[in-house]
Amino acid sequence: MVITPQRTSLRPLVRPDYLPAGHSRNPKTDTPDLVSQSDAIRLVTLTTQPTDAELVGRVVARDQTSLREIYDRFGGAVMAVAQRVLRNPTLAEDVVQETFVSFWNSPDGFDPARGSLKTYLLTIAHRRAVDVVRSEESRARREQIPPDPDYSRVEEDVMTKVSSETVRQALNGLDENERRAIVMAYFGGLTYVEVAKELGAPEGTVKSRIRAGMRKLAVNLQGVDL
Amino acid sequence: MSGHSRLVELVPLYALDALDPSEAASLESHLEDCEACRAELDVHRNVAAQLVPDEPPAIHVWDRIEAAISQGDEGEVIDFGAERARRRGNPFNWMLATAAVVALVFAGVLVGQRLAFDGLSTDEGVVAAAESAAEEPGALVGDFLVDDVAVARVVLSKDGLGYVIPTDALDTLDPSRTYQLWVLTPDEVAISAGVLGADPGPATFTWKGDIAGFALTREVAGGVVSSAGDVVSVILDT
Repeated sequence: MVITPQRTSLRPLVRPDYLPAGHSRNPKTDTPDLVSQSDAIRLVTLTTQPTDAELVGRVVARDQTSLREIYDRFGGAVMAVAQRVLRNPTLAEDVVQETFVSFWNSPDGFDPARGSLKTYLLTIAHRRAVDVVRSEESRARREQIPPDPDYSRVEEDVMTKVSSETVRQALNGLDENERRAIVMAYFGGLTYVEVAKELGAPEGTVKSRIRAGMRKLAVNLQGVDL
Repeated sequence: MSGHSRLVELVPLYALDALDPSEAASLESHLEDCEACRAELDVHRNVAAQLVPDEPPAIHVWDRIEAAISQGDEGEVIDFGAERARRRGNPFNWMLATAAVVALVFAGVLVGQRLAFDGLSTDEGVVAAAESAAEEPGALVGDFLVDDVAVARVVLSKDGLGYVIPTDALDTLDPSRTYQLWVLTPDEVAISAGVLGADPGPATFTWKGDIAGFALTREVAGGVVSSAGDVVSVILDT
């Protein structure tokens, strides 16, 4: 991989003979490629932190180390969604394992044009988790799931642990009913019909709340006005 | 309200997996032809992912993943049994119990028949090879049936080269899902024979060894090491 540091107007701070580990002198100019501390930092960051797309490319080439790196980046989030839907650590671990094994078997399914790698893995994991909750064939597994939780606590938990202030603000920007319906559907693994039953609200109303809330979040988090 | 304007309203709910199966199926069918809805789905899925906290990953789960993929890469038998069997009974029998069971027949019974049933997917090379293999002595031929309609034919030659030929009756799945083919062995183990994709065309696989039948299941994209039990159809060698 060729890394082209972005030149800055900063005065060079690095001695001409300074070379960060892994970088060579430019043979044409006989000077180091790096001219500033900020470039050096950026380069070291780039070389030690491959992009998600680079890691996927290496997984396609059957590099398990890169799968481990992807697991280190997103395994926690995948477990977080599986654990919230299933409320049983053993079942959640099954889903995490199946998600990553599935990705290992078919990494080509990830299309960076359609979304982030985190989104891709979470889509697989969430679908898998709700399949466990809903599938008739998995009745024995479903029996291991504790009864319905207190959804106001689930909502609090989501609001507390959410990864960025931007997301927290976007969730706070929703009508309370919209936020509750979205949290119950996504983190509770419920269909909108089940959410309506839980809330004692008409199905059409819950459908509209989820739709309106998701569209507001799309504007605030993705900059897309749908 | 047109089909699109009705279905686009379901996209945010679909992104949260919050539709009931019949609504999800209608939308999935619409998504195949509607780029605008697919683009909106991408946006909502990215939104949903942002709501999930980034927690530290558990090392012991990685150990399980590593063990599973190492086993897969070495081509070892992937067993439905062991841990899962303890939880919910013997999954081999359970798989058979949950699906229509159809007899595998030997090719000799099919003398004079061709695989040219209506609705065969196009990929003429594979189909022609499957037709030819079906007529060889010792080949096994069977149809996966759903409500008495063939959704795919499986042919396994005596040499161990297998073909699976879907028909148009096989539903297309959402891109996050896939069909997966399993070989059922006489010692009651289901072994993955291949991941067929969400909209399978004719495909080949290899299998050498004793065989009791085949199963076709729906799984998450990429396939799984042990099935969640969403069985489409089973073929048994009686």
